[in-house]
Amino acid sequence: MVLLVTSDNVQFQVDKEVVERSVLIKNMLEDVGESDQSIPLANVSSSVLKKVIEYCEHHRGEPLPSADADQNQDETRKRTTDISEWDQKFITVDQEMLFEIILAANYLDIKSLLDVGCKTVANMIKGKTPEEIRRLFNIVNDFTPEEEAQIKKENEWAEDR
Amino acid sequence: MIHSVALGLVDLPVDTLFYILVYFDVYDLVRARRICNTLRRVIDFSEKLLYAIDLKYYQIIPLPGSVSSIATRRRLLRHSETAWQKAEYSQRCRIPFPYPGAHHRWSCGVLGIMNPNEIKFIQPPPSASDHTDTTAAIDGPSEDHDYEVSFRSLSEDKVHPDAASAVLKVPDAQAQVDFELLHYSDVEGKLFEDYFGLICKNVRSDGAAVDVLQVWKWKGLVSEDGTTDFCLIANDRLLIVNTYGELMLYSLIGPPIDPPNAIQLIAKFSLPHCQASPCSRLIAIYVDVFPAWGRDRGCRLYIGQNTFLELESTYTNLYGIATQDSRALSWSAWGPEYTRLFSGSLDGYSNDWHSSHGFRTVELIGDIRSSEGPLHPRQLCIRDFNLHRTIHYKARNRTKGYERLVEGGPPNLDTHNHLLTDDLPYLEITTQEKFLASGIEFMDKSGVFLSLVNEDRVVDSIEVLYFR
Repeated sequence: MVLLVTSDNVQFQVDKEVVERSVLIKNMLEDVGESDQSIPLANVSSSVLKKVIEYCEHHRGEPLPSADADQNQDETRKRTTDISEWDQKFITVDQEMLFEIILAANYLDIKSLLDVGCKTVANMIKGKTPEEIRRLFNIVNDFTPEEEAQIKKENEWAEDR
Repeated sequence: MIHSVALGLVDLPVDTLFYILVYFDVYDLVRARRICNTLRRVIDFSEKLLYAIDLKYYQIIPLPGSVSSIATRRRLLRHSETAWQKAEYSQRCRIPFPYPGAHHRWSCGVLGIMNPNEIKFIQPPPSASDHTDTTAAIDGPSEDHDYEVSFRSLSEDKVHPDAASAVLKVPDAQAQVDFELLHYSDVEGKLFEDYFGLICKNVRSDGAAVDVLQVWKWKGLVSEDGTTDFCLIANDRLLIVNTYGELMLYSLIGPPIDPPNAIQLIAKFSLPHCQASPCSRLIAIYVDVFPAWGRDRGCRLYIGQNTFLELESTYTNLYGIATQDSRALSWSAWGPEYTRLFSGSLDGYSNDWHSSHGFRTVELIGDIRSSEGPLHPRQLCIRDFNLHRTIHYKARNRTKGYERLVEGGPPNLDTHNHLLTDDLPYLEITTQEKFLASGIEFMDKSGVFLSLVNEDRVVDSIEVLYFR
């Protein structure tokens, strides 16, 4: 068992096999060796870590994606945004939690969870107009009218798709 | 309890935002640039995302297996595009013939020149940075089969590692066909991604001359057999031009039909009453039209290659999946809107005054011969039919460009009262320099190959202009 401590000082006892889905923690454990010391996770709150552990528990024992395979996927840009049923259910959370999970997955280096989070955001954005996307994510349009006109010109060829 | 400001999309670190954007298709990416400065910057600082946008904009399908970095590939692409748009080549290379008028032929980027007792092979410096490594060699009839095709890797000079078999031995497809009389100029092979097509013109069958087309998935095995000329317009769509002025669209991977390795006919389109000579290119079709304005001339008809993929559903909605007996979609229902026609020059040379690659075409302007006196060197006109570029050109209010936009032309009628209006818009530019060329051998992604003539009007060398 490994002891994790969150930013809000909550302790979690987790199976080594589960926690090692995080490349960050796996490397830390390898560096430290056998030890009873707790691992502080200053960037992750308890509510988020709870979700992350739930994810790792479910995917326990599955092979970790190799860095090489991902490189090739990037090249061809034939990335699918399909998400498995369990993951889909798991990631149905409010926007803030979604972004927190993405941040935590990025920090803890859990590639498959980062994928699920990013695919979810991508799916939310797909096919929407810029204005719809701004409203959905509460983003301020910070372009000057000139800038906006300029970008519209640059984009004209791809409109109406 | 203290509430921190809610975490939003644009608060995510740049690498994470980039990771999300990687899942976007190009149209979503382009739209995302309009959301806010943060997202625009993430996209504009990523060579990978910009390269994906560029490829879509220029409608280029990159060849797999390139070793150079994305930044390098993008730079080369933009260099080459600028060179074409300004009609400024960056380099030229001359290949003299051992004697004027020597027989010569190109195959997959290699030039073969015939000397009396030998064939000299020359590979000019590749004009495209990631040119194809595969070549197909066709060998004539022998005792137990009619001809054989082998696929070789140019860089390794051996059988291509992906080829299903070292040599494709082609048995007599139709028992009566006599391949013995095959002349080399009547055989043409084309490689298109996974497919290899071989057309044999004027082979004898039961005493009559027929054209035979066979297509194989060269990485896999035998697929089909048919007639006349062809081009592959998508990985699974084959367009065949027949001599009755019809275009036939086939699917290479359709529902199982009988016989099992035949290809599935999907749709048929008619051309203006003409004798389409079997000489098609990616988007070009050479036709003999008999225009109302005078003597018959060879014409070149350009059609956007995606047109047929769009028209496929138009056809099937009207007539269902086509059979050999179904009617073709009439020329007036699709032709004038989607095509552009160029009538041929009168210089008496063959039909090589035009050449095309992708959405770009080059043409030698005017006649090389005057009624008397010396030959006239000619300018090259470069045209770009990429719709993305014409839309972009209009959006910029026609500023900041070197080219000129040409929109829908005036209607013309041929002698059979077929409307020959051509509405396909394009951008064009003409070179300042003139070339004493009798024709264009061909063009590719970043080069034009001209046949230069001497004072005796005989081709004595090939000049390559590199636009890169």
